Amino acid sequence: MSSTRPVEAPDLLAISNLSLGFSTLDGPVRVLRGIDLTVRAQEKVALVGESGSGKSVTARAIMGLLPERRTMASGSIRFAGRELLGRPAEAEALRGREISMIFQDPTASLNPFFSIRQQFRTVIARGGARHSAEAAEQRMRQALRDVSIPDPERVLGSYSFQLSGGLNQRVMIAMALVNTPKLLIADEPGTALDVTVQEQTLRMMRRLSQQNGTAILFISHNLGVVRQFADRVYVMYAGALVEEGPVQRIFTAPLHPYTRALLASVPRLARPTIPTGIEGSLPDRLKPIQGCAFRPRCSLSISACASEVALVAGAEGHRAACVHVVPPA
Amino acid sequence: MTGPALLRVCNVTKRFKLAHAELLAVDDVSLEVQKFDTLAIVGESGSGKSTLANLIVGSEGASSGAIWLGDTELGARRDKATRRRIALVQQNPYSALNPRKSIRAAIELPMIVHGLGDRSARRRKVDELLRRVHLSPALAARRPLGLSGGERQRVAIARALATDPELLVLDEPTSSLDVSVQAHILALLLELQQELGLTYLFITHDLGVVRVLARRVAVMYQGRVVEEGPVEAIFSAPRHRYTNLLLASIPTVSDEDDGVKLDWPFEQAIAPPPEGAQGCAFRPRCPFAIAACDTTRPALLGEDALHRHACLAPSRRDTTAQGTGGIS
Amino acid sequence: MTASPEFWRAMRRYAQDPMAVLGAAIVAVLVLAAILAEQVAPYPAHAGAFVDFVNANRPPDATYLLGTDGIGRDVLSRIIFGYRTSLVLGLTVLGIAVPLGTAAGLVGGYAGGRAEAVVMRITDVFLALPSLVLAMAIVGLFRPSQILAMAAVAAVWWPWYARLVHGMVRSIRLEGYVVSARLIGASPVRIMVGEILPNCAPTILTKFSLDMGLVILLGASLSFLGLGAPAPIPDLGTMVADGANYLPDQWWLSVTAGGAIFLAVLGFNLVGDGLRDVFDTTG
Ligand SMILES: Nc1ncnc2c1ncn2[C@@H]1O[C@H](COP(=O)(O)OP(=O)(O)O)[C@@H](O)[C@H]1O
Ligand SMILES: Nc1ncnc2c1ncn2[C@@H]1O[C@H](COP(=O)(O)OP(=O)(O)O)[C@@H](O)[C@H]1O
Ligand code: SF4
Ligand SMILES: [Mg+2]
Ligand SMILES: [Mg+2]
Repeated sequence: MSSTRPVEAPDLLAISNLSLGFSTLDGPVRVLRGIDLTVRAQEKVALVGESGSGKSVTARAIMGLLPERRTMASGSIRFAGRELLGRPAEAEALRGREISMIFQDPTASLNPFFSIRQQFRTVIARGGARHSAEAAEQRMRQALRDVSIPDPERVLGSYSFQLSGGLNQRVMIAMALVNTPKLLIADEPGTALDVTVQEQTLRMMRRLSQQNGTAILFISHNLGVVRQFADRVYVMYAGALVEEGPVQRIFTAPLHPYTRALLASVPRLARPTIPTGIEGSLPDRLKPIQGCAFRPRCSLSISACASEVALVAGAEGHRAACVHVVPPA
Repeated sequence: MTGPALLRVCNVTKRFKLAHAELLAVDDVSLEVQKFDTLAIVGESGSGKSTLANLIVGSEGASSGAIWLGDTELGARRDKATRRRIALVQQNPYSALNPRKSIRAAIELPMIVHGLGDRSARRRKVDELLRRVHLSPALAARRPLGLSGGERQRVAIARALATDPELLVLDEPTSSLDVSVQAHILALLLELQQELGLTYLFITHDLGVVRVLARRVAVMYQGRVVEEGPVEAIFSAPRHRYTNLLLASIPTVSDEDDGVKLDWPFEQAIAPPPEGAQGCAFRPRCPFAIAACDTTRPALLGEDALHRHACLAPSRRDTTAQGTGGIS
Repeated sequence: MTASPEFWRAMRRYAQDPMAVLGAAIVAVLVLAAILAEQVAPYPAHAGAFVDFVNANRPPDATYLLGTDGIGRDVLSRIIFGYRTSLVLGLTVLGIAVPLGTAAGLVGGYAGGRAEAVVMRITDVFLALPSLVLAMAIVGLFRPSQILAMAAVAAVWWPWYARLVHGMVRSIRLEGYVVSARLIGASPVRIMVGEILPNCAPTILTKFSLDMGLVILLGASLSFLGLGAPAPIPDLGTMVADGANYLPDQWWLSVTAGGAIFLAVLGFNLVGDGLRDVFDTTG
């Protein structure tokens, strides 16, 4: 539960040894296998991995949004020192105040039956501080102007289905940040949008988080977006973290074969040849995983990969879970 | 243009009647695809890419204009001989295959409908097609449940090839796949094109994919083609400002790619167009607009037939919008 | 359906739901008893025109487990044969309603346009009629007979299947595999029967099971009103109705028959719920 690494800023979010499974009609599935992840105050951290690797489950576990009855979890999720795992009341108290979240599809996460103003008011009310109707209105308008919406009045009076996906995304960001949370969890923000809108969205999130001192846990399967956005990156594979490090190192000197293979899969502008790809698919969630989960798809696997592989520290806070990673002398 | 065009789309328009208004989903589009070539269509969602694909494959009829496949005009009603020649690969591999039918039955269906071969010939063909898309023929007896997205998309491609079509229309075939899987599908498509001499119309919103797969690219914006030309030319020196914006927005994974990526004045404020402006559809997002952009709807023209654009204040030819970037 | 891996997966999931297994057990016992009534009923002759005044109105005891009725017939035997009547009723009614409703829903949902409007309007008209009233009206027009009663119930039952299937077809026809089949030129019949119908089957089966219980119940109310199987054929609804005249002294007459109806309805409902869960889960 204790972090042995030197710490620059206090850990805002500290997940340690988080394991999580669901009971399903097909039997129990293990979805997270011993996650250690920290987000420091004001830091922008990315969690990247293929779909199905467990990114959204991690986010929902932090937010206390998992179906309690069918979920089995162990380990710890601490936010500003308070334990959240298995305490839905604690998580509920923080949601929308200290921690807020943005989801992948902005239009689907807004309620079509209420105007943006009505929904925004609820969000502000949740912030706790008492506001007069007038003051609340002022805050909403300012929040919308902050996300470069020039005519807040029109947007506030609209319903989500009357606005474009890009506008809805901005509204979501404005709502997520209006109570100046300490942590923003963004699960694939803008993936449902176009690159041009996504680019603007990311710029906006980066600017606002800097202004407000909000830390961001940024979840994405898109390596390019992660590279643009994050300070530090965690790479997730089949429910376990296989690599972590500063963004520059992950993209210039990746250690784990999975990270490398993932990078080699991205079509490149500078080299118009077909990228390499990764053979095979994620392991069956119903079967237990022995040793390195990436082994069946890995071109470098050796017999040692069949036993437990721990995260090994490299230089500059760079760590990877692969037998081929040797700690620096 | 050089060589015989396999597909010619001539001034095609598609209107949808909505409750209170009419929507111009495809607005006077003209395009050609040469035999054995790959034309990519890019543009943001809602720009009319899928509608154009639907018009070509015949699941919708055009409001006006004509589509030709070789010497045959493609109306909304088509005979079987024509249907055989075009196949569609859709975006969502999970909805592409019937969950209650075997892989064999899925791939066989086009052959049965077109009366191609007897039972054993069809069987052989299914096995052959599965091998072509690098799947084991042993898969034929299984149902799609349990197949990954990538495997399903391979089956969908095999099914598309069952009638030996000339033109494959691929509507975002890799957009819902992970990059690691996308790479394999792209490699497969390239291989199939070379082996079978296929012609592709490839719809995507991912410019990285365009770069590695296509030879020509058409950029759509709000139902219109705003720029069209060879991939190299468009990536290095786009003329339309929207193309420039697209190229500037690509999330890249290396410094090397950043060198190729274009710039865009993202932070520059944009003056709102005057009330009731009739001009360029991109005007409200364009920091480079000139007065004429408010009043004139630019036509798709070009200095040469190979590279056309519809911009009244285009980027300069030798450099890009902000003068940096470009493929050396 | 062949025993595909999906089938076994579904079976495994079904087996994990104790209530569904209980339902299946009840239904299995009832169906077997109904089929083998001559063999399992303690006094098969009592299902017919049998009279034994000596043993009339006996409360449940070791000889007559559920007692006897006013003319000395074994109630248990009559209930077992009564199940046969109920199941025949259910199967006949649904045997007419399900194919009819499914066909109407398929055509209406797939054809769209005017055909859809016509089919669904007819469906709505039938749906608007209260089922019991219509059934009584139809039966009232003619001489009460069991066949007529069944036809009447089927007439009010098929629109539900038309609605259900129509709704499913509306969404399934947008699925990629249907689009693809249409594009290569497959005929509407091939698409409806080969591509769409198999995907409606699980839901139809689920509703079928839930409805077996309901039809049995409706049949019971009809016979309660005197529209059931003609005497002396045992009919659970008629037994409840007749027994009600002798409450509270000969309580077992209506209580056991009522319990028998309840058990059948419960069994089919549990099976239906179990099936719904098995087919519903997407993950
Ligand atoms: N409520 C749940 N019950 C059972 N399995 C679940 C549930 N939620 C998620 N999963 C499974 O957990 C795995 C990880 O899912 P997710 O976190 O959504 O992946 P990602 O966001 O990385 O794409 C997937 O295999 C998914 O099917
Ligand atoms: N059947 C339809 N009825 C009405 N509007 C439609 C229909 N199909 C597409 N549209 C509209 O046409 C426009 C273009 O859509 P589409 O071709 O799907 O774009 P893209 O594939 O580029 O995302 C969108 O505004 C869409 O809402
Ligand atoms: S531990 Fe082995 S299998 Fe896993 S990534 Fe490293 S080399 Fe590959
Ligand atoms: Mg997710
Ligand atoms: Mg589309």
